[in-house]
Amino acid sequence: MAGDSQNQRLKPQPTELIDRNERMEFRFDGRRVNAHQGDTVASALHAAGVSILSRGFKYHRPRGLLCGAGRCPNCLVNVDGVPNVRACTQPVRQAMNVRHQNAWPSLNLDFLSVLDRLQWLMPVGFYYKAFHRPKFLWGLAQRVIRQVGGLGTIDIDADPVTNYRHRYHHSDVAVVGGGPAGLAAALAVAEQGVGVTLVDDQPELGGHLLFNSRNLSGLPDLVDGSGPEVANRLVQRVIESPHIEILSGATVFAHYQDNLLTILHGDELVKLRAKSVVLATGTYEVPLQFQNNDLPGIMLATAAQRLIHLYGVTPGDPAVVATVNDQGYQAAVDRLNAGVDGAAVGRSLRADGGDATAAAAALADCKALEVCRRHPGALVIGADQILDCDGVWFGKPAHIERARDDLLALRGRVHRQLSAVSVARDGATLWRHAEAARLTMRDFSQSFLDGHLAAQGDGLLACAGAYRLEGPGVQLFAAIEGDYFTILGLPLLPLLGFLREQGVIEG
Amino acid sequence: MAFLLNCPNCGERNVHEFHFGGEATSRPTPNSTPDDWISYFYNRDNVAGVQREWWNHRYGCRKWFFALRDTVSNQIQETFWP
Repeated sequence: MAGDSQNQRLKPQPTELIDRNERMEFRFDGRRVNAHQGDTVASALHAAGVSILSRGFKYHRPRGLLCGAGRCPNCLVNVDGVPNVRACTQPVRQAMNVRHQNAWPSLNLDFLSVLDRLQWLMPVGFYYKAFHRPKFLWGLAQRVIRQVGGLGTIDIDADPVTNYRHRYHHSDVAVVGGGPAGLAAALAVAEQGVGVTLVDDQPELGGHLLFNSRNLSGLPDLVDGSGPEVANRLVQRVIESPHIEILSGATVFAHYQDNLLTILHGDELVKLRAKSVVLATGTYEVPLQFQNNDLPGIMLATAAQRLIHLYGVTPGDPAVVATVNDQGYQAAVDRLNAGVDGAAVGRSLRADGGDATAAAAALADCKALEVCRRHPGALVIGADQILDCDGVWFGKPAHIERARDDLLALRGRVHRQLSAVSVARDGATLWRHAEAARLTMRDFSQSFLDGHLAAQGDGLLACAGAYRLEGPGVQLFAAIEGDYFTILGLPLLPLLGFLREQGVIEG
Repeated sequence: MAFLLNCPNCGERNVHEFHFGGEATSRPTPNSTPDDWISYFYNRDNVAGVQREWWNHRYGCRKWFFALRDTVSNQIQETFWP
């Protein structure tokens, strides 16, 4: 079938919102695209291998999926004559007619993309929609500019959507946001017997828990589990509570004086007056800044996670995950777990609030799972080590000069070596362990450093922190606290304990 | 936008139910000079701070009452009968 030409669907995911038994078909620029019940236009298009969803306003650069949650303007399309519909939130309906916007003659071949090469003519800030001189050209210019300006076209012959109902509503407490914070807040209020209205903009409650597969533990009143499992339990309790009223698929777009909330719920405008308002709207990811970061295929990590977990679509292959905190590690692990080959993780050298232990653990996981895929049935051990000195992370030095700089940076200070080990088989992690050791480097002299580097040479390039404790590197230290093997890079004793438990080695 | 105003008769209502009647002024007496009358018609104190003003619950009980409102922050301190 035409839509299956590049099928990017993954095997059924336990948390997906789509129903694979219900198939539908819609049209995208005349091309037939297959979809399932529960797909959005963007997820179905992505599954069919479509990567360009629209073109930029001014330079007509190609645009692909970026946020996947209805918060950015990258995926605007025309649906059944209605312009500027967000493809990533619009559910697919049978026989829908979706057309692209702002590109001619097609999304893949847009003649106006020549403007991208004429950026010098219309630099950032140049107002390209007004015309002043020569005045006699204004008539012509107006017609041309009119075509180039604006986004989307309105079909003036179509029936206009004018019926927006207004509804007034009152509540004791309004909770904005149906993620873990909002769900917990609503339940806490309902326990007092007070009425709550819970408003969430996504089609399903649960917020980021729905696509966050990381294991959560230590939550009061709730048994540990993965994000979707915890979401399920919380949502169940919310649904069963007689005091909580749920408004799903509803966007609170303003909060006015005296707790007036204006909510767009489909074609209904709800004006909710509440005695108290709890804002639990969560956070947005911010894209990384680098040249050409707007090209199709570059998306936020949560967008990739939504594609995988909610719609069972692969974000693309191969993949690079760049992150500045530990949230990105989970995205990388998700990619591997979804059965897609190849994920390279680039990590920032500043911890920036991310937990080094979690990073090491996630990377150990990544490595074990990656190798698992190539050796079915085998027990795979993955390990990773991060050196953390006051929030700065040190990796293996690329060359001797870097090794020198690293040692000088660590001289006279206390740093931690975090080692994590992960044991996996057949795509599932069986056991994880992470440990930290504290090392105090002494104030060695410059001549000692020179001698040390000369004697060790390139051997130091294989170690994070550029020292080998098992060799002459021990002379760099004043004090060491912690397990010896952890410092070397692998918590060996706990690993041996696990292997004995499994009967892999003699006990 | 639509903040709440406490009508002494009906309780807290959406401000759009009310009609603003202006700053509370004192009426001239029969002994007043033409200047007093001109001031009464055309001049106002227009303070940047708390002022006493008239409000009418036009789409409700239609009673007139006073409010003490801070014109800088738009916060209503008190509403009471004249």
